Amino acid sequence: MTKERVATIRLTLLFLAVMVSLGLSFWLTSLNLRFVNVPLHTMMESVVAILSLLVAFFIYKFDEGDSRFDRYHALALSLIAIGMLSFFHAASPEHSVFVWLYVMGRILGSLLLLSLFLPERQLSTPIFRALPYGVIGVSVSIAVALLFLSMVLPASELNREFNIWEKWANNLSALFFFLGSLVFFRHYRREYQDADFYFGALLLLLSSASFYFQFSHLWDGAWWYWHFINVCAFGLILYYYIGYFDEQKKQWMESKIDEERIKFVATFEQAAVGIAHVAPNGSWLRVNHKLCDIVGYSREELLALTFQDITHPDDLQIDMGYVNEMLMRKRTSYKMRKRYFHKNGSIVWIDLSVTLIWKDESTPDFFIAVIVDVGEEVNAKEALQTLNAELEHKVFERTAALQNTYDEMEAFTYSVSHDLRSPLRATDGFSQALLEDYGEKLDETARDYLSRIRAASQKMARLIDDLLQLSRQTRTDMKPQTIDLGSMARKITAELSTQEPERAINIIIGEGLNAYADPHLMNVVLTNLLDNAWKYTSLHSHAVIEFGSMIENGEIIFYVRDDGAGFDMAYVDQLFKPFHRLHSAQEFLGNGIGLTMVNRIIKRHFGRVWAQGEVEKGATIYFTLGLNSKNQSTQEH
Amino acid sequence: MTTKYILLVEDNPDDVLLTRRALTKGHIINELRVMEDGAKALDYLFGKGEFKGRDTADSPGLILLDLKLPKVGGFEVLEAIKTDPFLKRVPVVILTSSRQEEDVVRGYDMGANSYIRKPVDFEVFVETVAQMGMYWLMMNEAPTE
Repeated sequence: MTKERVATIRLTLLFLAVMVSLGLSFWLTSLNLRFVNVPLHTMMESVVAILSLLVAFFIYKFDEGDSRFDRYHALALSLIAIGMLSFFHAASPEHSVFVWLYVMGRILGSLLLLSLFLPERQLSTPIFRALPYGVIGVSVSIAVALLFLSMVLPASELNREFNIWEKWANNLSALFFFLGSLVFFRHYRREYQDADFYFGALLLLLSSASFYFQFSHLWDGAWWYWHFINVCAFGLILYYYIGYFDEQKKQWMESKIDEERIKFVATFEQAAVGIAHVAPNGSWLRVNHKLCDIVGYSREELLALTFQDITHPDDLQIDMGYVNEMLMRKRTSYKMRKRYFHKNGSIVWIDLSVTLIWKDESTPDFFIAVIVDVGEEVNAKEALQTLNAELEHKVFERTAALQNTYDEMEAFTYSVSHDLRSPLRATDGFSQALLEDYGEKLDETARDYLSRIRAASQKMARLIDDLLQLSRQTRTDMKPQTIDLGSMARKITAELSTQEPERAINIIIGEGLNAYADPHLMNVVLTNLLDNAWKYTSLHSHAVIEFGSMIENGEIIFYVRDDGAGFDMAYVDQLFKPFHRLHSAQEFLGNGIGLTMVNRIIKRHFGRVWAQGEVEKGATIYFTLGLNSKNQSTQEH
Repeated sequence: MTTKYILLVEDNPDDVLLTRRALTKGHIINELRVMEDGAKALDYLFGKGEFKGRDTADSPGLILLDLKLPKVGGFEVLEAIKTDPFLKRVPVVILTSSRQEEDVVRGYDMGANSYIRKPVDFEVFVETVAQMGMYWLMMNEAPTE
């Protein structure tokens, strides 16, 4: 049904109703009834007062700023005057005053309604906007004035007949209300706004009530009838507002739902991951932009395909397995990494997460699939794997090269120890044979030469042995354990004392000299250090050799000290180099390999070694051991 | 007690000469038979090759074995001796230049009776050989055949 027809029907029905009620009122007048009920009257006028003020309030609350506000504003002013004065009217006990209050309410209200006919420009001036307060003030003033002036006012009725002023005042307000209603009905015919129809109806009913006033007598049937019309007029408005608020609420809820829907669509469409709804048979139902991007198809192309069409055959079986498990309710979701075929034929690696939505207990509705492009990740992983493989290959190659070098060195060492010694043995042996067999035929010089040949061969043999030992110390496996260096030192010095019991040496060995180190290698270290101390004190008649430890900065420092020949600190750097000696072989025997070996062994224990000395005052060799049982165990794990 | 001969397996003629001299000086008078390589030593011991028909029951009283030998190495010779039910009773002394720990261990593991490293100092060598010969040939009680 068109709005025009609804409007026509509504207006027609309304006018018919007014006409019928006109007839009804005349009939009621003729019955000459009388029914005095003050509380009922008070209640009716109170309802009118409350509803008129409420409607005015609604207008200001909900329609301000609306294009229709000007005419509603005029109506609101009118309703405020009616409402305010209706309160006083309802509350007033005296007949005379309460009729006048009613009449003043109607005439003031209808006069204010005439502002409908003012130009719009004026209606929107600030003064006009302040008018509601003015109207309240004026209404209260009139009411108060009427209460005080009741003495001078002409009697409102005589034998329940209203006086002529009151009748004509009501007729005038009936006219103004009628004009007002026409304005609203005209707007209604133009704009089909329900509010215009209901406000028009309100004014038309108020108009008809004012019109009946002249035919009624106080408390008679017609009088009650137009009071009833008044209440009906506001009841109609109440009915409109109930519908209006209901509508507003519905619209608000719909807009909320719309907002949510828009958000969800945006989430789906603009997500940075591919999202799709997939039918239980695998065809795409709905796909988002990102998914189209990932696989290179347009939306329309993709919707014509199934996921099986673009899945790599090697992954399809696993995927279908999951899908079937979901359809059989064996699982509620699954995740997998798989390959799609891009439209251009290339492979796209993706991470897929799928859940299934059920229409009811037994009917699957659709799958929700979330697709993340992991091409870069997969490529990076592959690159890393390639790199690792290359690295491993390189490590393998280098280890092999190192092993090769090591093997060669082993062979070399073997050869040195075996082959180099043979000629030396021959040299020494045959020199000796010459000395023994032909000694008497040789002169002193020749025999001396032969002895020198022998001495040189033997020295070379020792050198070879030392070299071999040096290389062996750095290559043997270390088996570190907690050892007592003190008792080790005591054994070594006891041995030395046995070899040279004539030496007067005071040996001081500290207590609790425990260390975590390789016992064999530490034996080599202590043997060398104590040997040196023994050796370099040999030119002194009395000597002190000390082995002890001290703690500095939380680190244990071991030392071997003697008061022997010592050395010049200027040459301290040469002390730990192989075959460097600070003393001649005539002075002290040895070939300068001892401290080199000590240095290497200490370094293998992650320790440090250093020396301090002074010529003819003695020397001290300090060393630390970097290993401890704790970090050793972490190295092993 | 029969005076058995000593079998020296040594390729270096200098060493052969020196060993012979050392034995003499150490008063070891047992006959010294020399094999210049491992293959020849095995042929000799097992009566094969050029020694075919030799009475293998005539076994040496002591074998002095160098490790570094041409053709067949010292360890192979040692293995052949020590796996032979008869020859394994003959004491074998490894007499070599090598002092590699691995060699020493391997030698003993394979049943060598002694491991002696030839010293460069000839006087020490004489002393060592004399002691060794004294021990294995005179003091040590060999099983009677």
